[in-house]
Amino acid sequence: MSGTAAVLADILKYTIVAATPLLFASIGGLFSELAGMLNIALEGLMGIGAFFGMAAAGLTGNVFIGMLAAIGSAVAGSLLMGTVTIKFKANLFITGLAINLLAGGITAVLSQWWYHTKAVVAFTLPPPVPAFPAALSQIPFVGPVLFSHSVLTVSAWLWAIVAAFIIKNSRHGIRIQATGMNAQAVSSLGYSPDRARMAALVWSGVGSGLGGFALGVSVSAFVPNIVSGRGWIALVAIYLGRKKPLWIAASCLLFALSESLSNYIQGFSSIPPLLVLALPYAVTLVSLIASGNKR
Amino acid sequence: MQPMTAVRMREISKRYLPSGVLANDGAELEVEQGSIHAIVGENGAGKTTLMKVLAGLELPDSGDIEINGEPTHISSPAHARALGIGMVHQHFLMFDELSAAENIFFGLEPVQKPRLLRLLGIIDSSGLNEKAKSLANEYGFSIDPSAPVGALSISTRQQVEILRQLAREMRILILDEPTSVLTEQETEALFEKLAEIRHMGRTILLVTHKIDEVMQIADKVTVMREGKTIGTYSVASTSANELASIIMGGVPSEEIQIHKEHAIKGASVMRIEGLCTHRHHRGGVGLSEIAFDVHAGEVLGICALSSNGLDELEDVLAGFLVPSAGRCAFGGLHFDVRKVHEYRRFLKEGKISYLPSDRMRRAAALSLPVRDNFIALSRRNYFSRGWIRSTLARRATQEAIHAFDISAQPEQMTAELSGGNIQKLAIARLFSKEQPELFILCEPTWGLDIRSTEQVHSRIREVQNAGSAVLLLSSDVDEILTLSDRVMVLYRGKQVLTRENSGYLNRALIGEYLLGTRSA
Repeated sequence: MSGTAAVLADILKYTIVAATPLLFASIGGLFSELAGMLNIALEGLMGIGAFFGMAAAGLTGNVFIGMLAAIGSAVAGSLLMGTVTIKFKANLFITGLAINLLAGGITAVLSQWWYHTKAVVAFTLPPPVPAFPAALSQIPFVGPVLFSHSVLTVSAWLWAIVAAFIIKNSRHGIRIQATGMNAQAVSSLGYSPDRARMAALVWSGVGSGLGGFALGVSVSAFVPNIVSGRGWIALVAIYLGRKKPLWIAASCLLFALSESLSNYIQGFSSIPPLLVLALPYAVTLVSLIASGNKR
Repeated sequence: MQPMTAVRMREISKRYLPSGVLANDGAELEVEQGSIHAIVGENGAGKTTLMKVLAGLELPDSGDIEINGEPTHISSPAHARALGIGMVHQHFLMFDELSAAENIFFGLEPVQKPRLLRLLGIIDSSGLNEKAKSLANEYGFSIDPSAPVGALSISTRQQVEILRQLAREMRILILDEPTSVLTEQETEALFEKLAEIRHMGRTILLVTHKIDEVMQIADKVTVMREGKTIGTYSVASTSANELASIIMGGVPSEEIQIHKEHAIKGASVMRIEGLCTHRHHRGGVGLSEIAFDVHAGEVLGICALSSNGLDELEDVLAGFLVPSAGRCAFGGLHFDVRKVHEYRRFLKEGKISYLPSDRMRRAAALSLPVRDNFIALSRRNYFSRGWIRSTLARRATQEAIHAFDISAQPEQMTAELSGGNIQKLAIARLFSKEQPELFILCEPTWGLDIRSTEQVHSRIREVQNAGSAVLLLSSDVDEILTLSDRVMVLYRGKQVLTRENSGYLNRALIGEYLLGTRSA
């Protein structure tokens, strides 16, 4: 394999890795979006998931338990958000902001308490479990790009497929969609829009918890501000993908590609690294403006 | 055998807070099982509120309800549903992006057989469409179960809403002004279906203010006025005239009749030529080569059945839709209609006044008080140095409420008003403004009672006599014939008739053009 092809394969491989947290979170956020709630707390919920997931995985040395802890903690956060907004009728946007602030605070405090540092906490995790047989990853170019990934990365795609199927084909999914389209009609038919909203928030908790955990696993550490805007980018992906799972996945790949490119360029170019690192955010902004014009 | 009483409501009172409007003031209702029972009255008479109480959407302040002889307190829509009471709303409660079948069987969808899929609640979509089709056939409805309801015509959406109630085994169906959005043909078809539903032993409550419909379909009729029940009459033993005078509170109907006098035609105010639009805007047919002009002091009535281009024409004239071709002359300027910003300027400057047909979405900000909605189009008069002159605004609103007989208070939330009162508010606002050169009035009397309709018609005459040009877009043939100096008919987006409204034109003839059985 020539040098250029190897570089390209590397960029594409990392694109898929970088898409993992985005895909988890944006598909989770799609549920609340469809139920008619703009969930701006994805960012904070991802942070919560990353911290508790890594803490549990580090403590037990078991990635699966870490995953459950990530889900559990982020769902707890989204349930808190749901209780405050749905039961106590607080403003959704303000509550979302509060969750984001809470996430930053609680992880810093617990990090100080448990690990005596507010900086990077490194964990030793068992090596990632490959999702495909080693033979497949030996295929030139395609192998490293598609078949060298861990079970966690592949499960993001399974998650997206299952979620898309549930949304479109299940009673539960239809209930959530209907609530977003016309909540008054849902209650006039004798069903509870609030239950559908709460369920949708749980889904977004599961997604952002997993997304945050995937971030932690990718660096084998908990880093303050580890999410660094990916929750917001996931929210943008929902809009850019026009609330259609397939297009949301495509949007996630686009953002992930720009992240991957910026990581690569950073390595050798003379452009200031901070400017290069801003690339994913610039792509987000430009894509949002471009998609706005079409409508 | 004595017929069973399906519904008995006694002494129902309901006051809306915080406005304090008393919508029901000791209202009474008794409905026999298996009958079609009409409830009539003017706008704001309390018909809809009474029905909302029955459907569990509003809790009454006091009063007793018996359903099938059982005393009950209807506490929620779910409770009403459990009692077999279903309501078809005036503004349909639909899920636009879901299919007709999904809307009908929402919550009752058949699930897949395999165990895992069943546990996950995965819907058997072919079974669902099959179920919808057979339910529709049972009652003689024809719908495409897989079509998203947002793309369906209003009458089909209404059918979906009725089927939804039938699918839930509702024994008592409440229809709130079901024909206000239907054409004459669609109304006929609906009535056939209602007769069929009654034949199957179900009870139908029909809220309306069209007396001819009551005479045609209902068994009994209850008249309401100012929140009270005036009386219940057997349709067989009363006449349309009698009923009209009871509804109007004893005013003989001749007094409020207006007579059409021919106006003197002035200079051309607006001329449109070669107007075309793309298809599929709002699911419509698209306009092709529309041309007309309208003169000062003239009413040009433009008539069409639903989905024949009237919506598109409204959207073009209101500056919402960019046409694909055409020229326009207005206010001494000639321009390409595709340059909508040129055109929108006239609306903004108040040279053109527009009354939208969709009053809920376009004519009012429902979450604002009546006063704010009233002053919205002439804000300049009500603000001094950026601060609202609230006494002035309140007084002006109060005057308009009085002049147009609106059941509302200036401080009341607009969302609390009945559809008819919101329409009257929009009309009052339009006619209180500085007089424009051109009025574009779309379905101005949809959902209004007889008296309000007459009022609106005489206002239109007034502005016409004062020299404004009027474009009247209406699907009501009688309205078109009463008001127009010239009549234009659209069929499938084409202009099939443009003619002086002389003795030659009549209902039947226009009907033929509307239905496409006759063409220019």
